[in-house]
Amino acid sequence: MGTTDGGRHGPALEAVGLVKGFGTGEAAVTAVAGVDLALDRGEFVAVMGPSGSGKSTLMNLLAGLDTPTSGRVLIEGTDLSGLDDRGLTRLRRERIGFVFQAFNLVPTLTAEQNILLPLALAGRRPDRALLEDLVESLGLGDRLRHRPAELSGGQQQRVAVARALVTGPAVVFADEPTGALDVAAGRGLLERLRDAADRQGRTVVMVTHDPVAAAFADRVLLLSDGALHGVVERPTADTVLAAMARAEA
Amino acid sequence: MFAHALSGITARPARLAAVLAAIVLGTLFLAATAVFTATSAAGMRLVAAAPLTAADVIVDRDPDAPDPGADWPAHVAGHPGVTATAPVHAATVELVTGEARATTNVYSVSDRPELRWFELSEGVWPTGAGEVVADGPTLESAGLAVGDTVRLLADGEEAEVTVVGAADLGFRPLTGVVYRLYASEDFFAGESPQSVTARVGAGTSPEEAVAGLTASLPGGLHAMTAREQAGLAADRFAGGSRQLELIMLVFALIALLSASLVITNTFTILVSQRRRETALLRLVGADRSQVRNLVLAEALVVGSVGSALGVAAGVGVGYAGASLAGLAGDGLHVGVPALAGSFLAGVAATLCAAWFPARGAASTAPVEALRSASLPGGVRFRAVHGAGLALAVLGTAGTVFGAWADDLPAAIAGGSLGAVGLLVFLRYALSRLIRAAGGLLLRRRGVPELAGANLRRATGRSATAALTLVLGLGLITALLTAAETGRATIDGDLDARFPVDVSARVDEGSVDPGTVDLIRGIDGLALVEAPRTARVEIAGLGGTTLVGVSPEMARAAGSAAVAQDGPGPPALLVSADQARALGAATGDTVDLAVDGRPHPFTLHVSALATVSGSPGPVVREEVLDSLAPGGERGVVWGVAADGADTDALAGRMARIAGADPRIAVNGALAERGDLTGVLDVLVGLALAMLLVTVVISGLGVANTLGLSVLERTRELALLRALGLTRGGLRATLAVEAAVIAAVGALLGLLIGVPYGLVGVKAVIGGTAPLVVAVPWSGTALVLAAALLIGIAATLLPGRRAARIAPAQGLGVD
Repeated sequence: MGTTDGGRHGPALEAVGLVKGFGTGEAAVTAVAGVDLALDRGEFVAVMGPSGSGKSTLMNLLAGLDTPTSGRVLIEGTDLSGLDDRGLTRLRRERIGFVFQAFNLVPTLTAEQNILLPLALAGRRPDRALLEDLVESLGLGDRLRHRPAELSGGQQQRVAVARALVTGPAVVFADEPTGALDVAAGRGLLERLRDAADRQGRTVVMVTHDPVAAAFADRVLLLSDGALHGVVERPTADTVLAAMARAEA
Repeated sequence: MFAHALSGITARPARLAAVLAAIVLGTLFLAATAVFTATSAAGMRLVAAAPLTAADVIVDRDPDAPDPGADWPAHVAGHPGVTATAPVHAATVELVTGEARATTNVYSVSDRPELRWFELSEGVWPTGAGEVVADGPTLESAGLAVGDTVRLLADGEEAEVTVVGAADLGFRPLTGVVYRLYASEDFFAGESPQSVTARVGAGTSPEEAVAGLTASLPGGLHAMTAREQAGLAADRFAGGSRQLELIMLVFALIALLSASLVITNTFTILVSQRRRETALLRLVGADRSQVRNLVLAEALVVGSVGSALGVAAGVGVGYAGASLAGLAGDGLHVGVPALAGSFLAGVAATLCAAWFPARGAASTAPVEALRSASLPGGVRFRAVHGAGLALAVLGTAGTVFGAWADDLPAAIAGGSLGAVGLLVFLRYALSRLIRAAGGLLLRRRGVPELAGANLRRATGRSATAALTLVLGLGLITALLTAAETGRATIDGDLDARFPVDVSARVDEGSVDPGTVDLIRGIDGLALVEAPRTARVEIAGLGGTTLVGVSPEMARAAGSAAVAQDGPGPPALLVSADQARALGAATGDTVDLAVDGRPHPFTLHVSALATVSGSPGPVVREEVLDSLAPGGERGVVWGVAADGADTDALAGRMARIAGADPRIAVNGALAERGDLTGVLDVLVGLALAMLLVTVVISGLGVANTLGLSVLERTRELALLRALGLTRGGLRATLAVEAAVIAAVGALLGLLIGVPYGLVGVKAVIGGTAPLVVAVPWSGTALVLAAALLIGIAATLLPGRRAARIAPAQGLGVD
């Protein structure tokens, strides 16, 4: 499975002095300017901030999709900077799940094939009980044979969540997961993510700019100019909005 | 993994249609070549072995050993165990009918029914020296029927024979236009046969008979079983077809190369269209090799299906080709290893072609799944392009050196290397050219501007599409140039060797005035003259026929020395051999004793002195009158008008010669027809085969445009929403296709013409001066064809683009 016992006791996800700059000289931009954080197993955090605050870059760095200029990212104690492409791929496949706004699924595969894709790529047999549990809790039972084009936006997004959870990952990254959904479907999706953190102990990192969505998290990290400018514990939509107003002032 | 690849194919089969079509055509060609080769080889073996089917044993006479005498077959017939023998004779004669005369082979057919190897479809078997049978094609093309009487000329002797039957040989392949007659043994009475076929009685095996004959026959006679001899004959026969096989194989491989380019391009486009999907796979944990293998698996499936279809179709096409050529007499022959090879070559070509796109897909960064798709760019100048350019320059230098140093292997090696280098380098050059062309279009408003902008943004794929066109059209241009130059060179060479186009001569006396009138009546001969001739004795040359021509004929035949009556001794044209015999060279003044009286002449070596088939010195007519007065006119010379139909001329001459058996015909016409005929057949064949390559490149252009339309659906919908008409949309595509086609055709011409010239130079070498001729009409055809391909290529993509609704520009992808 690629996990070590030592990893289970430390933070699921840890960032130390994370910096990411683009360009050189006058055109140099610092997208992430020194971020430190440690997330426990089963913790659900939301990352918020205005456009250009570095949310997406931070998430790419945390997920090992981008390499930091300096600093380190550790997932279950494994330093990502020590991994080559093969190691990173293996880590993504086994310890990380992804859900994002659009173009989440492979259009030529059925819902079931999409869900099982990470296992197929790893050459692993699916755990039938876990799959049935996932499918049932996400309400996808009668949709497994359909292709993405035959599913509603909410259903597609639930298939993406199932895919993100099917490997039993340590961390699930969600990038604006409710951005393209109506209110009810968005709410259902957030409840699933909350459930994954509470019941299965997955650590969830969600980038969003919707205070209502952020209110489902345990903590909200407010990002501005690439740095953390505040934390809202046990957030509600109102406290998040107030904190955002303070951050922008 | 494999299931994923399959789902990718079944979900969007149309996108891979071009790959499938290209690979089907490529392998079809390969398999057809293999089947044609095997089938025609078996057919030819059958033909070669046919005369031996009735025999058990054959005894050959060693042609270098002393002739054992006409009755040597008796040695064979007297051998115990041999029950019947038949001598085998063959002779080449001139067949003269009222219509024409032609070279004809006469073969013996046994008087014993059990040793005859064919049946009659009509009439009776020949008996005595005055009867023959002919096969169907001979009867048909000579215009004869059973019962007709013909004359046969051989070594000055003339015989009259009656056609008493028609032979049914089953089938006869295209072995030339030589007529065949079959005569009884009496026809060859008194001649020593080349071979004797024999049958052995029950209780004796052919091998035993051969062993016994070998022990008892005198030296110089070799016995062999008929089966063994048939195998040898078939091998000799098949040897001549090896070159054709090789040529077909080369063109099949060129078609396959062109198919590979189309496949590479298609996969490159597909991979770039699926970039986000691929990135998603990488994101959820596919490693690079898995992504690469996914593309390769797709290529494997399509390549296998395409190759299987191509091989199956190739069997049919190859057999049909062999049947059309009359070579399928032994039925269909399929070499399983060759077919398996064709199939594997098709699959391997597809996989190799998909390799680079697959590697490109594998390098997709996972993070691209989170970004909007980026568009493919152009071709950057890389080391490989520099190497290609260097190779092209080196190869070209090698070819030019080889061509002018008469070193054919060097020229071929240089040409091949140069072609490989060009293929590598041209993609970059084409990309720059298409970019430049797009830049020119950008200066105009509206449709050209849109087309130009789009051409500039994906120059790499347009370059690959154009490259397939360069390959096909360049080869066609090279071939046309080589053919045209070759023809002009042959004509120039023949003009030098044969100053007159038609020459008829009689050995003694004058050419019949009726025959002269008939030759005068031939359309297309600008000048016909029957010059005076006289048998004279010239010291140093012996007895020879002196010809006296008019100044007009001398001028028309390109002999200025005789045409001008300048100061000094009169001109005497002699052959190179005669000049050597006299120990003199062109321009020398010599004193020659003609019939014992000395005369001064200015000597010139000229082909006119040998044009009648035997050396005959030429002087002006009044010179001949003063040397040897008389009224004999033993030759007729004719010079063709410029642009005359030489085939028609040759046909008329053959008929006149048929009517007057005394004359011997020479001149450029006969040889020109033979040489250019062979050339025409070869070029026609090669062009037909290259057509496959051009069709494949047309597919490539259509596919490039079609996929780009799919890719730009949103953008095109937006343009429609902003007010671009359907016609405008189609026009944009047409302009794009026209630019790709024009760039491809122009480069094809630019490369093809010099390649063709150098190729001819390398083949002809120093044997004749090269006469450069550019096939302007052919060149225009190539350009027109390219434009047609371009227009045809926009038909389907244009329809698809026109169906895009303006509202599609507003949805989410």
